[in-house]
Amino acid sequence: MFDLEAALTDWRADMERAATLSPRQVDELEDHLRASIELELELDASLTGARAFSLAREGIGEPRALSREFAKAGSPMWRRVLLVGCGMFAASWFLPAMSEETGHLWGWEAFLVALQWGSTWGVPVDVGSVSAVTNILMVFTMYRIGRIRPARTRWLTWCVSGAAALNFLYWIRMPDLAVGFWLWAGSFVLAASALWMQDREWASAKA
Amino acid sequence: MKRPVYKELVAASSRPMVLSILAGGENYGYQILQQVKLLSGGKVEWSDGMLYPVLHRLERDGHIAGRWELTDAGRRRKYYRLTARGKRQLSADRQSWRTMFGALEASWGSSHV
Repeated sequence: MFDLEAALTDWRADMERAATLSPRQVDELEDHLRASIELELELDASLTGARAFSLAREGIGEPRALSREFAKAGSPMWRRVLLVGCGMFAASWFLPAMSEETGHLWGWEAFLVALQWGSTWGVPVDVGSVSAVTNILMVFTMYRIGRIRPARTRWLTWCVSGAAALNFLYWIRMPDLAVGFWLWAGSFVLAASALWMQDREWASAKA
Repeated sequence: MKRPVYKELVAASSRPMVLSILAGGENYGYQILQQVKLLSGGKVEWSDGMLYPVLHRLERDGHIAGRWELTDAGRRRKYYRLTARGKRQLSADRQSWRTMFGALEASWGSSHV
């Protein structure tokens, strides 16, 4: 006996395994598939459920072909935002992070200084070191650009968002910051935004 | 015999076609495909896989906006509507296509082929 729901679950699993589509895109295709099956059965009452499913499945196409079509439509917004953020992050290391009055420091030099600051800000937490370590989060986030089907990691989204807020604390403490700092801090904001966008896109509409 | 429309022409007309259909009101993917078939008398057939990337590109460009809604059958379905930007794009596309169509008509009218 043909079980439509089981067949759809299998189709969905195939689609998620072989294609680079987000769960929301697969949700939309599944709705299309269901509507096609209903129409096939309406047009020909003698058709079996299995045959109607097979026809609808053929109509929608193979996962790899669908992936290619979606790829032609351009990369998703979150990936483009992340790409800009990563570009800013990379550039910030080779630009002045502090102005001449405070003492000229390149981005990479500022990173080393921040690691050594310790708890000099009058707070129990070593803000400088923690902030410097947030760069690891950023590198981890950058790794996603090249991934065809990145995993959904909510913890990373929260961590990068927290890092974005933390890194702006420098602004309160040190008013003489230069372009390198702003690019660096801004890159965290863009990365956090990209991760939130990706989380939203990769959450199934069924959830 | 039904003569298929060139796929390049189908691809080029996909944007104005979708925008025109959505100018008639909010709609979802499957119904848009049915509308394309109906409007062309079955001469233009889009593959199912072709429509969704077009919809996603139009949504990304801000020409249409999508929202998920629960159907009577309890299924989640994505509906699309035309945005103000989409209306402007449709107007520009319509003008371009009319110009092109007019030029072709004129050339065919004056030619001896």
